[in-house]
Amino acid sequence: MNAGAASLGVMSYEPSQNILERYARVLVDFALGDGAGIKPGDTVRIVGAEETKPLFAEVCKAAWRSGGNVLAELQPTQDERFNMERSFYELASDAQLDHFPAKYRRGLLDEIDHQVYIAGTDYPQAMKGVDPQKMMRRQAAHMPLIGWQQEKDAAGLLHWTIGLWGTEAMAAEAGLSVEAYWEQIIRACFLDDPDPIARWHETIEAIHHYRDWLNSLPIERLHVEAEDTDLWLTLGEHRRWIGGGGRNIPSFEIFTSPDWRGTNGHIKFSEPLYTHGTLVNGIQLEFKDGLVVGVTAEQNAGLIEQIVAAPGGNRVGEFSMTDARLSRIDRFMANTLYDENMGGPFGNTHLAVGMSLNHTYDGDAAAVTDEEWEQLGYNLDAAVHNDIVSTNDRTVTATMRGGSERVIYAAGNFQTEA
Amino acid sequence: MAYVPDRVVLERYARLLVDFGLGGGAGIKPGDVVQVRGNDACKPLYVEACQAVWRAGGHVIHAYMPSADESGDTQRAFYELASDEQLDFLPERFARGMVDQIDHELVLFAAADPRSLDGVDPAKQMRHQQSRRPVHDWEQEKENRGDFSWTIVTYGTPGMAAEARISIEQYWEQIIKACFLDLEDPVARWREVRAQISAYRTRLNALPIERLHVEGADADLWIALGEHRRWRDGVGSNIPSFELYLSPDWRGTEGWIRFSEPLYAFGTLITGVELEFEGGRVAKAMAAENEPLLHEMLATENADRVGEFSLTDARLSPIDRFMADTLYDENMGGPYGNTHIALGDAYKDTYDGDPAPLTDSDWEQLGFNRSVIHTDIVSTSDRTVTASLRDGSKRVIYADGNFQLDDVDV
Repeated sequence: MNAGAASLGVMSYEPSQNILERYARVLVDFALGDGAGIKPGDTVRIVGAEETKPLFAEVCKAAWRSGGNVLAELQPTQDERFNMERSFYELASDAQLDHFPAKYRRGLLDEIDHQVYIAGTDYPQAMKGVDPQKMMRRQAAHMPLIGWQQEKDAAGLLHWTIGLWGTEAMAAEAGLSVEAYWEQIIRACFLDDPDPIARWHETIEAIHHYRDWLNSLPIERLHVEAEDTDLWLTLGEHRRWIGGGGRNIPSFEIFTSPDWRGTNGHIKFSEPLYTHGTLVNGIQLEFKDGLVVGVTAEQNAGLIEQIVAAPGGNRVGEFSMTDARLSRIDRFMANTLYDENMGGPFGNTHLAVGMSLNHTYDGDAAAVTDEEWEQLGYNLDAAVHNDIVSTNDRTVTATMRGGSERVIYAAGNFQTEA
Repeated sequence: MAYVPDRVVLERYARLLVDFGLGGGAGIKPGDVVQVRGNDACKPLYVEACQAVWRAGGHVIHAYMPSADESGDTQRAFYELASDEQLDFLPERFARGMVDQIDHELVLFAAADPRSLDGVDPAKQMRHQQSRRPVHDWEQEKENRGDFSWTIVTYGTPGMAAEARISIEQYWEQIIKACFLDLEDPVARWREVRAQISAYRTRLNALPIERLHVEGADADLWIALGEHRRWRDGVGSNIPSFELYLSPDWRGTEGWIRFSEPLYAFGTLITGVELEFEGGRVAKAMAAENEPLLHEMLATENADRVGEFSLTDARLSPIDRFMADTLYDENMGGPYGNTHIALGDAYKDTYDGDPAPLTDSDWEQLGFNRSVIHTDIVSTSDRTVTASLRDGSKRVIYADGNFQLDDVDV
């Protein structure tokens, strides 16, 4: 663990100014606005921790260069001596956990057209030992905000993206040097190319090709088979596959939110889950009629049990596939953003427990009522959304509405040739 | 690793802000919402302050900004890149929601590099500041209703200490002394200090003062108090605060004053400031260093008028070093205490009554100045302040750095 060294102010590896400027341009001039970038006069909220500051500052500058306005929100670095988030949970009463500053949150959301979140921490284990129930209680209190965001998002008025800042401590969690960690970031985001935005447009075109093919298939159910995995998913009515937006940088996956009620079988995830600063290894889930009926893990099982026990946490909110040919990520990064977009020999499949993504609805999401969402099998009343990833060799077979079957994904690749 | 004050000092400091500074000496109540504003140069105090709010049962809205250091200077970059539209932009819905949400605002001032804006066009900075005016008005409205309190404090950085030409340890020594953080119970000590300041304030307010005459080697200045004025102290809103201040009728300022202390404005040092007033306006302004910036500042709307007059008694203030920070310098003790005036905006809480029903034209008639600027300029040289009372008599109210009020009946 290098968190100690980092907290003592040891200068960590930092990418060159050239790379930082390209990275910021990708986020502001490509990722936001679904590939179009921001427009002059747009307001961009930029959020990131102190340790991301070199990139944070470049993103602010990129937004100003493109004529945008910035609401900057830095977050204090956590370390052993100053761990603000942790002390909140140690000190907070139930009333403090439940507090939702509605007027502030509403005003902020009304103000912004875009949101950039720069993930990255010097201290990935900062929240270790904090009662997960408290964290989920707080998350639950903020559910109105998630609803408002989805509403604005569905109306096409809010764009957001997430990028990653690498630190020595995060690299250590993944068993990599900080240089190797950044090499993954640079390759995955095409920052080694003088025109990364052009590369992203090409990549998106390729993702859209697979996405359109998937959407052309009348899929009713999916059968995921792999070692220790035999899982059935039901797509549901009015679903569409989504991929190739700018909401995550990098992003290579194609995903949808299935009808949660039709999930049956079991799955063992080959990759660990990082959440709330804690690593959960060897997760296995068993589903019956859409609900998680069994959950085990080899390490920190308590956390995944808590996630599943949170409101809506025992239902599938997302199913996703990444083609190994598209993603340049070939190392475990101990970070959901990268791991859920892993390429490597077999690409990846992942599913999320918790909140469904309502933009996977094939129509005008803003016009759908709460009751209709429920009828469609969208799990929107959830306080969590945790992606759990498998990179072992899997085969995904689709059962079509007519009853026919075809393999749509095998050996890490989409099987577009019948 | 930068110098970090003792944990005990930081905890006392944070407690003092949350349990005394906010709420006008009463502290916050459980369930109150506190905006904590700071940057990554003051993280140790920022974190302690948030913890103190949570311990007191309050809620925190974070406003944590990037400071100017080797990993980036977003403030400077903003001014270098921003168009007029970007300078003028006010995030109105965001700011309105914030003001509606919060009961208190805690401002932790820290500059990693006090000179980070050197050379940035001051007109741009003032233009941007002007765009924030509505937020200031909303906050003042809410404060006038008694629904909003704020406290401003300083967190010393190596850069600030360097500006003051003292070590970071000496800088913090001043902070610790001035805020009584060397005592186990700084809140108790502050209550005593406030009682002492209140005693002077009560006596000053008992005098029917019409005009003040400030005389010394550095000053021959007349200030007209105006109607319906009262002296105020800054205890709570500023920590530390030892001064008694008032917003005079700006129209009655005549004469000249030379300020012994330098002025920091927009990240730049202006030294040897000398002002001449005629009919309430600055008729002549000089500075030994960075005079153009002074002129630029004075060119802002109504910045050439006095918004505040203030006196600090040397016996009350333990501050005895120049700190290159207005909060400290305007509360300087030392051998002669200090006198300062502020150019620009007046404080409406020095109106002797309920300010809420007053209209803009009422304020104008009373001679309360309105400006986006409020710049304090400080003199610590020996001065005598003589008051002309409404009955025509005269009396000295301040000399040798001390209030001369013991004989005033209250």
